[in-house]
Amino acid sequence: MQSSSIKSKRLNSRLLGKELWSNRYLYLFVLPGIIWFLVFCYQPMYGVLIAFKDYDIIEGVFASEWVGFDNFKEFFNNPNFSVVMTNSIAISLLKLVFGFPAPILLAILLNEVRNIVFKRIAQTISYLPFFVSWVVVAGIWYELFSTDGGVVNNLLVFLGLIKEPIFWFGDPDLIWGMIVASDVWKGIGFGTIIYLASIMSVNTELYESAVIDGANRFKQIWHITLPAIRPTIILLFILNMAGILDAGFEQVYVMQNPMLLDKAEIIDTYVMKMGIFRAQYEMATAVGVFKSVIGMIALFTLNFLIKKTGEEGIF
Amino acid sequence: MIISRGEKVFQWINYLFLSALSFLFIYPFWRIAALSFSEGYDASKGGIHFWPRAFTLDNYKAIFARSDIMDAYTITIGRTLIGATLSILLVSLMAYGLSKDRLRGRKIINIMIIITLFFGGGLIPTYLLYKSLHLLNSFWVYVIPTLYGASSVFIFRSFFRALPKELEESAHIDGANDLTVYTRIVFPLSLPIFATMGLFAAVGHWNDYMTATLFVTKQDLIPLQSLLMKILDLNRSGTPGNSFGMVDLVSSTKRTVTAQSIKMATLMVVVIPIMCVYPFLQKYFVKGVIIGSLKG
Repeated sequence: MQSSSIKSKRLNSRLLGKELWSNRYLYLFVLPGIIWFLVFCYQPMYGVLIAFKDYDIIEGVFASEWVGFDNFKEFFNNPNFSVVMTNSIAISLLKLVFGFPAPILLAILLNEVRNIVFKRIAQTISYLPFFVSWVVVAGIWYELFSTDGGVVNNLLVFLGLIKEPIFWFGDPDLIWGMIVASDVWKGIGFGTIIYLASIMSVNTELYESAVIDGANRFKQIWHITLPAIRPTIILLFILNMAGILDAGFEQVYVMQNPMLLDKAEIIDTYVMKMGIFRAQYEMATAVGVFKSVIGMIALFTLNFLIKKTGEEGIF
Repeated sequence: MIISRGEKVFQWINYLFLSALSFLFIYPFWRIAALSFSEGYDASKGGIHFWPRAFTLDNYKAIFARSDIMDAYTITIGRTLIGATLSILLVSLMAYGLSKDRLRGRKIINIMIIITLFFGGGLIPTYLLYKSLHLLNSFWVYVIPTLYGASSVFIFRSFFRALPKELEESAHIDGANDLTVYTRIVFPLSLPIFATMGLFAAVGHWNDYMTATLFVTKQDLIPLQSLLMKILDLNRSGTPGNSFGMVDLVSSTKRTVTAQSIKMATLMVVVIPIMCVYPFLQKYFVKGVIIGSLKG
């Protein structure tokens, strides 16, 4: 009895060995990837511990001394805290208010176009800016809005709306508007594709029967198109809210300058300057952790609330 | 179908509105192009909106005479080719492995990858990791950290899963191993997804500006985007004009070239390659976004 179970165990392990060997290439294919994910994704997650430590670069993460929440307290007591929080939240909310509905509207308008060629061309053009970098977008916008021969200023002066050219990218009071506007310009085409795809999946019979019932196009949009894309809207809204403190790292960094920092320093740019340019690793990491925690809380709370209203959440 | 008056009016307004909107998306690019082919001093008098008044290639000649532009071009082209190729190769191999039920531990690996979609270490731990791996101020910082990505693994995996099983199975019966099956059967069948993912990876590399900003200080290693940022001189000072190296550049070339016309031409050389692949990009883009948004 016992010997036979040992035998079958041996047989099993030999079979297993044989099976593993015959699939050896599959394991070889995934191995570099596993190592990469461990090193480049999981090691930094472990490195987050330095937010709670007095990091000593020679001793490393593990051996450095614990300091509890000192690094967080330092950040909260820092005069920059309220500035970067305000700017991050304000820019994110403004982007949400203006940038979130824009692709929904554009998708609905494009969907109303009967001429297929016109629709294709208009859509293709709309996501052209999506494929260029923020540096390029900033370069283009600086030219358009420049005080020295920029089209926008020229036009506004010509129309008599302003007397003097406005320094659009140099005025702290205007920079939020410029960030939000250029974000909508760059991103609207991308969002539109997602919404158009879910509009396309609406059963055309619904529209046909609505026409028989005497519904005009506006009623069709209101009663069929919008409800059909509601799950997509909710999904993207939740994901947007999870990034409430993001505000657009690369974009804001590219568009800020020393004159604008009171309005254009956000959490991510602050972390970068503190952590990398000034080597205050622990505090910068703590700020990053704080930001992720807020993002997580926003994500879970919103998901919970939306599920409460009977809609489907994202998990 | 009877169309009411109100709907007709709406249709016309819609066409007009979308045309105006399209103009807003495309005109800025057009204007940059027109200015880049204009003589700098002539352009500075203003009034150029659609077409250069005094056509010239001097701006382009001036920037291609700069060694820093050529260096940055080399870096960007090098990282784009090496980075995109290595990335789709490695990602597709991993995705192929994960697409097979025969692979033990498949579920754990999947979970391990999914977690990275939601959690990360953040900037500073990543910076410290690169530092300890000696990736700072190294060409490989452009390539290695972007080799894999959760969403691209899943996009490849779902593509491989949808491939017909028969060809692979009969190859296995004939004694072919997984490497042979991958190179001889799966790869040729999957060329569209390789092209799509490769193109998107390439565009990502071409447009990447933050990696160099965060991890590279050596000036002979900076990519085109960083150099463009320097030439545009966007966030160094609030005052336009006195850009990095611009004074020597302008004085060393013909007087038709100005700082502004150089900026326009540099913008163009960064954008033109994207415009060249744009027809292909936009063809696959819709599909890619839809797959990606469904998986994500």
